[in-house]
Amino acid sequence: MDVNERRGRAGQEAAEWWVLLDSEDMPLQRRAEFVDWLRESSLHVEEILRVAQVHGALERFQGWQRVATEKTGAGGARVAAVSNVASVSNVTSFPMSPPPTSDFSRRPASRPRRTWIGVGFATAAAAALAMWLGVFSSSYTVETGQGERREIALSDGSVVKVDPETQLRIRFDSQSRQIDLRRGRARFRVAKNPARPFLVHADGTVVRAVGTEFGVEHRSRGIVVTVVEGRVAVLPHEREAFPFRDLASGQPPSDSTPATAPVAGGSSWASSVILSAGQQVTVTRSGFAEGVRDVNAERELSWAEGRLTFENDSVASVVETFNRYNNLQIHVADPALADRTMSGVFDASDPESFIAFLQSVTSVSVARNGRDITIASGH
Amino acid sequence: MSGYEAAKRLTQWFRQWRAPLARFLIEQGVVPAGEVSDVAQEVFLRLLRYDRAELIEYPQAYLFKMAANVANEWALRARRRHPHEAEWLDGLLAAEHPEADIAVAQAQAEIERALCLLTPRQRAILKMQFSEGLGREEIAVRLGLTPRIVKRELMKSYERLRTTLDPDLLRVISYGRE
Repeated sequence: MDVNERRGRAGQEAAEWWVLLDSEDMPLQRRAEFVDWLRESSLHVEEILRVAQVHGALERFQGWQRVATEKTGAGGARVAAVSNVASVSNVTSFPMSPPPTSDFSRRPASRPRRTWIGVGFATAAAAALAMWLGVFSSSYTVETGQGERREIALSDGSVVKVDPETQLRIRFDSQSRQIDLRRGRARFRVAKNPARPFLVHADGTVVRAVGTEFGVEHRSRGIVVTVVEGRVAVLPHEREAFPFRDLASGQPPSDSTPATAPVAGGSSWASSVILSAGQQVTVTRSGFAEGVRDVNAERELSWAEGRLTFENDSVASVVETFNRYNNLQIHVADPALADRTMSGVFDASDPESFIAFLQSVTSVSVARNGRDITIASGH
Repeated sequence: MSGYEAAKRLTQWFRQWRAPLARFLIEQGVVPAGEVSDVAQEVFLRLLRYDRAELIEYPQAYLFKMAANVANEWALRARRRHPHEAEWLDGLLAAEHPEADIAVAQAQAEIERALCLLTPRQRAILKMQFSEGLGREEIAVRLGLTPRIVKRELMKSYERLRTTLDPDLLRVISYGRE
């Protein structure tokens, strides 16, 4: 068999498997056969994925009303009516954008009576839809320990890179996607979906994004938001018991909205700060947004890739950062060294390179004891 | 079957099949059609490494979760390789641009074109399944066919559509909708 024949054969088998899979019950024996078939060849895997794409396309196809079918078979008399029963369309497939307003189908003179099958189905479909939404309205907490970094793919296609010693709660429902960043920091790559705003809450500050990439950090000065791509709105001071739902329905950042200008609609987003790519803002603990800074966003968020960037930071804070990323713990023995400022870019998992760097710029003594390293001004 | 049992089965069904599939369909939107074979290769290797007994429990869930993860990682790697191109992000943002609307319209037209290549009976079956959400038994009753023939026709339809639909056009329509 040549390549094309093999592919054709695999495609045919994939289509057969798909139709078997897409029925509710598949006995163990059948499932085992399916798994063995998949593990026979990567071509089989590829073909089943392609059939899945075809299925996805059919589920999102909106022109069924225009698709002509003919009366066929013994029950043909009823087929004519079938094309006009549109009331339950779109329900079984994934919730998606409303059907097109232009309907090219010819309307029947009289509306066909819906059969019991149709009614039964409508009920089942409603149940299915509820289940489906249930799948999406998930809520769970992610917590990372010392030296633990995680990358989480969310059900909407967004990706969160979670730094060590970070806790965040993810709450998704059909209206909004909300993250509570309780401590630590995370970098977000948000899948665009204007109908379901993406909100990050941190210490009363709310960051709202539509489709973009940005980082939110708890730092000593306050909450720091840095934008890599796109635009986000930062609402510095979330009122105490402000309902999330209202925030979700507020005005999204738009290109025509100048920074800090009131947003039409009078929502609380009026007082938000709009950040574009390459900009950063710090919201202090008192809820005051400092001026927007232009920064090298990739560098500012390099921690998400495991790189640590320091700029005129004290040795004490550098050590604290390294300790968060590693089991190996560094201790600074004297205040003079702790207060010394330094700049540099390091691999987060390589505290030794930081110590070597320190030794190259100043005289430092190093004492090792198992996983602990104590540094002090040298003699 | 009681309502509770039915609901439980339906939940199971969504967990095992619909949710991972939906995630795969969303993720694959960032992978160019030509690279799907690379994704498949990686998924294949992961399937080989996995315990067979576990896979057999929920084959669809494992397959599509792996495929979604691989597609996602693929996109991240591509972005790291070409940090300045950020094509996937353009793709994301494009979802609201007029060009993207045109692309979606093209994808819709492409599906319609491919459907026209099927037999009228195959079209009727697909229409009942996707537009009206009828089950196979119901479709069989309506068309006066045996469920076996309906199944056979569905298999043939998928196979035909697989070879006639342009996968690059489909990416547009599959991406970003839940």
